[in-house]
Amino acid sequence: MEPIVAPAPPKSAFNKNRRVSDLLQSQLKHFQHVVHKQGMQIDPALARDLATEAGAARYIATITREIRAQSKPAQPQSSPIALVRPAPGAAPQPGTIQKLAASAPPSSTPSQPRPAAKKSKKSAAKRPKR
Amino acid sequence: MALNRNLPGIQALKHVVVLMMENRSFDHMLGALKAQNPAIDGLTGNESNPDNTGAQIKVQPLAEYQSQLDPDPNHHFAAVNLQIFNDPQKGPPLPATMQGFIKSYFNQQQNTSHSHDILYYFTPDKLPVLTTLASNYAVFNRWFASIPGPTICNRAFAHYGTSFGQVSMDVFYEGKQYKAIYDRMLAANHTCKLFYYDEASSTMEVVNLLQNEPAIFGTFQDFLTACNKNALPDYCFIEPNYTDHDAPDGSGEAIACDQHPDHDVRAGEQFIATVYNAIRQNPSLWPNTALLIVYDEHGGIYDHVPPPACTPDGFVAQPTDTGTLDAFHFDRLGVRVPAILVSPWVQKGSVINDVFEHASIPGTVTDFFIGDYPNRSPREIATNTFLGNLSLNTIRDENDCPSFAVQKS
Repeated sequence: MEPIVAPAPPKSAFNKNRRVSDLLQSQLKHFQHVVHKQGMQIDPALARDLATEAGAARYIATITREIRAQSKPAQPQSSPIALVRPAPGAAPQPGTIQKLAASAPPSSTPSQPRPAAKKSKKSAAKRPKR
Repeated sequence: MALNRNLPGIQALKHVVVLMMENRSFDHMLGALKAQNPAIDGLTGNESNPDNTGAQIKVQPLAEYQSQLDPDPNHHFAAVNLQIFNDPQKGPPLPATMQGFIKSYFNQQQNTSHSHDILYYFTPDKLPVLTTLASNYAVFNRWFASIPGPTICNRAFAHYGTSFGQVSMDVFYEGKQYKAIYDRMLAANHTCKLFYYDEASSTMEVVNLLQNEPAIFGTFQDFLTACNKNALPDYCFIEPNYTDHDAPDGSGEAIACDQHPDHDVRAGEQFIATVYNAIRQNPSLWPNTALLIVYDEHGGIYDHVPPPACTPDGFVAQPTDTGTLDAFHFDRLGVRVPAILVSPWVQKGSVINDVFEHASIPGTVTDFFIGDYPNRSPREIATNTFLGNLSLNTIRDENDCPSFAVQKS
């Protein structure tokens, strides 16, 4: 059976300046809740730039990295090649995103059965009271 | 019905992978398949909704990949009430007529013509990946969102078998009475992982799972690597990319592939194809992996099947939460969504008519990997499980199982 072609979207489909949707606004609120709860210190400029998908993504990447850093040593992360389109002639993103990439945590390996002792004390201490 | 563990496909099964996409209804994505297979409960072409002028508007095969459903169709609880019951404030005992979709979309822009777009659906040629998988494996005629509401509470059902009383996008904390499927798996010495696309897209489960259990997460690249290295966890849940953004490693543009309006549907097609190919092309993985592709909720887009009643969840959302005059007892399901079960042990062209919802995911995974586990929500305990559809006595021939060429942009 010949492979069936899955067509690519046109370049015009990508719009990182698209206004954030209701879904992303909610996702941001959940991240902001965690930031507040954990007392994280976030670059105020990063925390203000949340109107577009690119801005939301930068903020979310920062918090995700911070949370995951609690349980893992740092290691560069690569993006899935098949769905990432290299920007022709594009320089690395300025400012925050470069710094974020430099501090990216590891590409993880599949999880092993997790003994309770593996859970970090810090993480466990942050578990909400119910 | 108890799973027949003597089935060859069940004896071979080692991995269950769930890919949950965003915000498309069954009829919108798969409704046109009825013309190819009458057993699929899709569209005849005569389904209609009244618009604000009173004119009856029929469904049309005019769905576009992008720019058609902008603004994002409302799918909060009250709007879905209007879509299902033709009344934004009252639900049952009003009949579920599915006649309020155009009215609901009209409310957002007061644009009569544009409000008709909510009835548009794709033809199979425009969705070669999803429709090929639906035609070649098993399509669910009756998989419904767990709640007639938005994303986060619906996704919670896939993780916990309940939303702990939530019907909205608000922050919630998991109740200690019901553990997430990942906690259950790990406690039973099984491996599991929740793969988000990358850190810039991350997860919708930040408050509970990511915050407290970051080690259970990985990236989509990790998923692909695990497939290549025959190191796939027993249970995998995959989240798509929710945003257009620059890849965190500076390698280029990462396009949103969640299919949430107004993201390009083709990027989601490619994402589904990539997940499928990663399993299908590995001969060590393909015979022992079941892949479920499912959408979290309908996103305000038309479907013609009235959602059924279900076992009450034990929680109650008050009218202040639902935005209607009624409290909600979690005793009826949300709008129908696309769902496809993929495995070489599934009969080609299967159509599954039993009722499923997202609590079926932890229900199925628990039943298969763990067995008896009483501390689950009433909804999850009552739900159907889906692995019994791996029912063939012999595995399908390689040439009988499609593969996809993911076109580079």
